[in-house]
Amino acid sequence: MALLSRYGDKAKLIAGGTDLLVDMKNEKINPQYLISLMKITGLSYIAEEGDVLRIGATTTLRELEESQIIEKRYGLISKAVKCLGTVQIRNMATIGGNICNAVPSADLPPALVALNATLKIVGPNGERTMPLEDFFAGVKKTKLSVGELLKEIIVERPPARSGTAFIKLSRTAEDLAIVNVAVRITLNEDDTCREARIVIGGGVGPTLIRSREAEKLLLGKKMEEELVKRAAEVACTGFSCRPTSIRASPEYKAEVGRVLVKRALLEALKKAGGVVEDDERN
Amino acid sequence: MKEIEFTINGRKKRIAVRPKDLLLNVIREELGLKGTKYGCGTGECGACTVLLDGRPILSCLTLAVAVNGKSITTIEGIGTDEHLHPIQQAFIDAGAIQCGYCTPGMILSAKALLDKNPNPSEEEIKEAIKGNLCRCTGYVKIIAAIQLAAKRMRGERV
Repeated sequence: MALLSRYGDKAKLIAGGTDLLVDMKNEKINPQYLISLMKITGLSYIAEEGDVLRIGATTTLRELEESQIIEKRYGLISKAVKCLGTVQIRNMATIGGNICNAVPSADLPPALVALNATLKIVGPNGERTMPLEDFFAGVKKTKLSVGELLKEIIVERPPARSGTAFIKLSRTAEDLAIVNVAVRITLNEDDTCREARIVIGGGVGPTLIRSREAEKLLLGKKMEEELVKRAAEVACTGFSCRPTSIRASPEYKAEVGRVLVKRALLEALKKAGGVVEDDERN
Repeated sequence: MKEIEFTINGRKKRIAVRPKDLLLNVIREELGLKGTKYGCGTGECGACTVLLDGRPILSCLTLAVAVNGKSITTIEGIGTDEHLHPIQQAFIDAGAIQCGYCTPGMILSAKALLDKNPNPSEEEIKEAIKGNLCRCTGYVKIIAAIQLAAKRMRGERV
């Protein structure tokens, strides 16, 4: 922390380095100082405490992938991690880096937002918390102030009768996402929708998108296929992706997004124990 | 310059490095171990793969100062000219080497897999070597070689 306040914006924090060093090599950034977080012991952990999971910011993606607790009870994180990069990258890259780089196509943030994750941030004025959903300010921009760093990610355990799904579309699995979708739904006893969280990432805008409008459509209703389809359409309107994106056109992203959101909702519904009349794939 | 100490292929080394030095360059230029290759330099190809405390990482995206106190294994550290590692032998026997540029990284990724999982499925092998690009072989013989090595390392006589 002292180093951060001494060097201010002349310094960059480095964890796994898999994004930062590539940017430095491409001369996109040229920080005078690098401050490594990897020497701080006690910043890498996965700990379950009651109904929350605490993940230290420098925990590597591979450690998340290998965690039994995550596999069993926070499966959405496992799914997102497994389709991210290669073994070598996952051994180096950290959860904090995947969040703080604020790359719009990152895979973990949508899954974590769907799970209602909160960030613990430390800075010169002490600690504060912020929902991950509010953390992104734009492409490669976050709401961290100078001198602050991300310390911990707190994930809420999905309530009873919840189902989750993560779907990523990319050219090859290790490639960056064209579109990725993460959802969590929770059902009432009568199988109506109690809560839905629909998050779309993969560069469909400068930040990921949580579609509250589509979520509202589902609330209190039986999640029949027609309704789910309509929610998916609502969720995928108004993307503001760059038309120059090298991975796909905005039109393609919206089109494929609708299919993926619908599939994800139906998959989550099944996992939550709801009944799906699912006679067509799309 | 900063002095760092780390273990490379079982031997302790103390060496002075600049803050910006990459592990790959230190291994190749300072230590003269040329088996680790420079490919893309941006974490796509896996030719620079080494094992850090047993786990495959990319030495082209690792700062040398970051391995202070840690243990690195390169391709030179897993066998000798007289006694190749079973994975190295299997790569030769299965015809899994063509130009050879990807081979050191490929073998180290395979080693990390087999050390943890002595009997991997084909899917698990593919996942383990996904980060190692081969432009010659089409991977079929590489996968066969890793399966062959796995059998031999489990004690089967093949």
